[in-house]
Amino acid sequence: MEPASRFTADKANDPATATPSLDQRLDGDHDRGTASSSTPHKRLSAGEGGGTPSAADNVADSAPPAKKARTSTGSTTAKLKGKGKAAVKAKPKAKPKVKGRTGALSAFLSMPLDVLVEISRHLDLPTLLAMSRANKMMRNVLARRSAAPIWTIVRNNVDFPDLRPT
Amino acid sequence: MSANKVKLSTSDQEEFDVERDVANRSVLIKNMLEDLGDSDQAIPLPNVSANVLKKVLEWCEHHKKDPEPIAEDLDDNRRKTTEISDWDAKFIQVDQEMLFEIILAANYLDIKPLLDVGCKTVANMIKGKQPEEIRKLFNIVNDFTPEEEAQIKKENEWAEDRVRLLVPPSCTATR
Repeated sequence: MEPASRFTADKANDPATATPSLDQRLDGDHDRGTASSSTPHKRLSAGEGGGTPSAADNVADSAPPAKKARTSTGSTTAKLKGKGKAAVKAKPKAKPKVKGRTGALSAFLSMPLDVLVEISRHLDLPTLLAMSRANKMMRNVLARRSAAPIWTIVRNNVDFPDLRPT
Repeated sequence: MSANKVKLSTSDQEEFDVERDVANRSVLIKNMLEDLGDSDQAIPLPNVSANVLKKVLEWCEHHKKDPEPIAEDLDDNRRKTTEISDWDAKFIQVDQEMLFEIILAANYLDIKPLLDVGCKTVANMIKGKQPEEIRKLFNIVNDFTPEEEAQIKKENEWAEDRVRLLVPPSCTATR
């Protein structure tokens, strides 16, 4: 719904409408972003097992249980729920009361999924684990069998030094 | 003369004349040029605005002499995570909005090394954070029920202990 509103807003600002392609690109862009996600950087071939990933997958298989009592603050949660990957695009609304560097990276949630994956590749394991625990969307993306390659990559980020005498 | 220059047209209809070497850093443009052959027509980049392209071209200009990455390297899962060079670190010191735009543009233009620089920068902001801090950073709501959270915590327990041993030294230093 956000691109749609932006669409009309742009139209209003730009009565000439000489550039319809610009507006359309805003709409199309998002779709393409997710649809073609991981096309340019397709090294995440599925099906690699290994210790940590498969363990995480077991977690994932049981991850989305039936929804019970939802604790608090509905609206964004409700929107994120059930949309699966599409939820990545949904931008949570700002919560005014929390202080600090809140939402410094909130824009990154509206990015195509493959960019989130690209970022995850550069993390370390504890952080990736923490990220997969942040909310259901992250869990959906990271703690599933098809995300195993991310965990493999991250595990390999640990540069153990060569066993060489110094 | 024109063979060495490429015209790029941004989303806001600005045109850039760039050296071919510079433009070739983008795999998207490189492939386009190879497919099209020489042409005087500007290449439309409808996903990139002028101020972002300017920044991206600045990077391309600086890195135009870099050796082409070997195809094998690109597919290598164990590609070493190298440090960001000083120049890149300085280059990427921009506000969130710009960082976001640069990453998107690098992704669209298929400039792998630049995408890496951007993603590493973001990753460094996240590294070492706890779930609650990550939520704060991304401005997301914890939508797990307390039961679910307890369950996940329990399931992850074994990993949390072991995983601490696997933090690369570079990461512990940044904490």
